[in-house]
Amino acid sequence: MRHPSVATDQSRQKKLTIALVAHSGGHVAELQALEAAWKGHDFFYVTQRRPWTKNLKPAYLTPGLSVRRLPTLKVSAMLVMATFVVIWVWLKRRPDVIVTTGGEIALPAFWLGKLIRAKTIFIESYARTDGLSLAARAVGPVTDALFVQHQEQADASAGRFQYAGNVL
Amino acid sequence: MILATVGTIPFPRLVRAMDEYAATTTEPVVVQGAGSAVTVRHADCHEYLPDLERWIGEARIVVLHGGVGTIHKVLAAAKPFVMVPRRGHLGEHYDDHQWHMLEKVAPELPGIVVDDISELPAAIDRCPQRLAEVRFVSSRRGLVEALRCCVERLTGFAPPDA
Repeated sequence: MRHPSVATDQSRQKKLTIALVAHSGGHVAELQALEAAWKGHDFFYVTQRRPWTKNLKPAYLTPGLSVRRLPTLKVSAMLVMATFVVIWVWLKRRPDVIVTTGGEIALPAFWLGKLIRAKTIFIESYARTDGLSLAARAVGPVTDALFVQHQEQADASAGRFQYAGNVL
Repeated sequence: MILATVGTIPFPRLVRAMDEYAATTTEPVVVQGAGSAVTVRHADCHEYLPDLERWIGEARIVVLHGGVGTIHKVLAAAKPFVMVPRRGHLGEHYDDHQWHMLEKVAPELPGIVVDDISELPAAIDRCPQRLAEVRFVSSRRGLVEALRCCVERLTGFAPPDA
């Protein structure tokens, strides 16, 4: 006798696992302001450990360095450490969706996210009023949906970016 | 109480100006300075305020840098506010994105933008009037709903109640 097959497709799942990834500071503050969008799902943050993120919950915090003038070496060191944390968290939690508002941490998050077949959403920062950020361009090939927060950016993108409002 | 908050990186120009302003008023001035190397004599200075929303809620007026996260919190609390964008050429950020952003969106915001720091005291005095004059309409709900739909579309997820 065969057991009835267990529904495994995502439409039968009760909730999704959503990873919210961003550089500490303004980027993660924008994600927090949009928290209502993930209500009902299982979501968590991934960002750098800083004095103002240590109470962020639920969260996986990567080692944070004080980067005052963004020297390349410090950014590279943070990126390497963030990559290890991302690998560990992606294997442990297997997010269905990865959302970012940017910062260099988006690079390992999205590229490694594609290896676990997660869907990816990039929300360009409200502070970015002209072209796309470096991070958005670097993960372009592995981004499933890209939201911008100014109508003009969407208008100039020939339908590639969506505008639906902004974080304010 | 007047609250000044500079976000997560130092902003000595604003901290210094707020300390000078504190010397001219009897109202308490609280400054969150993020390690700005400035000797503060008249204001009550903190490196970080873990519960920033509560401080904003208790403030009469908020003075801030051009950070989106803080602007969001101040709008949510409906407080009069003054924004001082960080400038790239003064070493306050890696570029002028705060200034460019505010140049574009400030007309819609119920706060005042100050670039020349000598105009800060006048802007602090005027900002309650600006809040009364400008009705800000948030579009956040639209973005939140679009993101929720996008997540469902990408994953084929159907909400349990649908």
